Amino acid sequence: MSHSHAQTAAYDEMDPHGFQGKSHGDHVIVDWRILLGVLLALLFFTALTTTFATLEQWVAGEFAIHIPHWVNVVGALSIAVIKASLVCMFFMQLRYDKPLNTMIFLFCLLAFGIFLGLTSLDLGKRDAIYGFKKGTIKPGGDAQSVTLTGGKADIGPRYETTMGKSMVEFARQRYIDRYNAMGVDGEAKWAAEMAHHLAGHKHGQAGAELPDANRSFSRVGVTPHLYDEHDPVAVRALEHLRSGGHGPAGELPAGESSSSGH
Amino acid sequence: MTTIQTKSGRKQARWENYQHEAHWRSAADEFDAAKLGMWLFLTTEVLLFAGIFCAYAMFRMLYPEAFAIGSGYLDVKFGLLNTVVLLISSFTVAMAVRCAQKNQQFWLRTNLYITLVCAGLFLLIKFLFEYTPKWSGYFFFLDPTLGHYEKSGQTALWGMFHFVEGYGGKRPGAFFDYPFAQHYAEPLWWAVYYGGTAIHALHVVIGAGLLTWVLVRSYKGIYGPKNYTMVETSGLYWHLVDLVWIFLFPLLYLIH
Repeated sequence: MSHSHAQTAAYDEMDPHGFQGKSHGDHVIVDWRILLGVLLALLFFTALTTTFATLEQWVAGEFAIHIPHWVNVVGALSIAVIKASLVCMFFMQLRYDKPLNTMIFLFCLLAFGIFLGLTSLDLGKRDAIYGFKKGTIKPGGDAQSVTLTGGKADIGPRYETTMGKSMVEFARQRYIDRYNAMGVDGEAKWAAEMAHHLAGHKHGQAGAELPDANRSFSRVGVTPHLYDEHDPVAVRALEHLRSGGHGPAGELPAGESSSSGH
Repeated sequence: MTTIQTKSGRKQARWENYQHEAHWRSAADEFDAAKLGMWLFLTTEVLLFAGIFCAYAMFRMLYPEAFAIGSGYLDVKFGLLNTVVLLISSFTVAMAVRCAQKNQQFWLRTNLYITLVCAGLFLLIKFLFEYTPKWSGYFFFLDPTLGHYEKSGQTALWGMFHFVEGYGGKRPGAFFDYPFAQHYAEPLWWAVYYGGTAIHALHVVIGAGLLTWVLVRSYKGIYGPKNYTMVETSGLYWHLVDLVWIFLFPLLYLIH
């Protein structure tokens, strides 16, 4: 192609609408100081959101001041949105790019919003037209027995069914049974470990503290249904704790302990 | 082969006489189209993660206690560390694009190397300190003597992993085997946790693979001011990985 400059300015048959001149040379080279500044801002917001969440935990645990739950959610997600915008605008260069890319991305987020909105609308309002559908979204489902049909799960001893228990109860029952088989009172062992767990989150064997790396923080705040009728073993464990470790936890035989169903 | 011989005798890097494909009007059009295509692909990636975020939102709505307890099992320290690692790698990728645009070949490669190290660190932290203990109950210890953990006895991999009774089994769905769960929906929390973080980790692996490819090609002198399309589009993919983690971190580790 050997157009002279004058020809190109008048009419270019390869570029009849004159797009070429505009799109040429508008690739921005972002200044490294801007990139570094964005990185520092991102690190600052990360520190901010983590400090905020940790402080909230600490204040609740130390002084029993419970900051409303939505503050935590709204605060953390607002900071996440700010961080994401920074990454999109500067690192992904949407700020310097053609607006088409930004529009595509925003339409995608709109689709996400519709997706999320309609799903929550369904879960929240499924019984608004047909009342009988209310039961189908009952929290917890039926929490009943799980039977594996597509092969066996590769988890130690091969079980094909949870024998009428929920997964959580079944896991607990296997722990208790394992200790019973060793000649230890499984249920008492479980209750003691559970108390240990609830007290200081030092899981496992007494004396063998977990490395700092995997110690979970003490949970505070509202968790209303923790020890309700779904969880007969945990209810007795709590009674066991309240009575100073000499309660009814160890009295029932392990087999009966959590088979009462729902 | 970083250079090629031209007729005039001057040695040129391969990016210097980059020719756009014949069906494009210009290299600029080719670049814009490639970038547009990458953005379209990224939207499908966002929608993939949208499914996971949607599951998180819905199950959290139904079982807030299980999610509060589940979040309590995670260590903010490791989430924070991984966030910092990913943010730094995102910065180095942005710098790599800049270096390609300015023909700073050494710094282009250096930035890509730093990014790959960050990707490796992210996966290492994830698997060694988060997945393995929660899944199996085996902890990784840097302390070679293991003196104060001797009570539990069981070790794996030449004593590097040490078993702690009653900690593992925090697995999703039918694989759940944690005896001290406090809520019947905890297996569901673990399904969301592993679903979200493992698909994200897969994206880290794919992104690192793309950037390795870019790095190998950069040694051939392919990237420079006239041709940096692949650096830019691979970089966009890496930024998306960072973007997803920016939301996963507060949702899984901070909100309770």
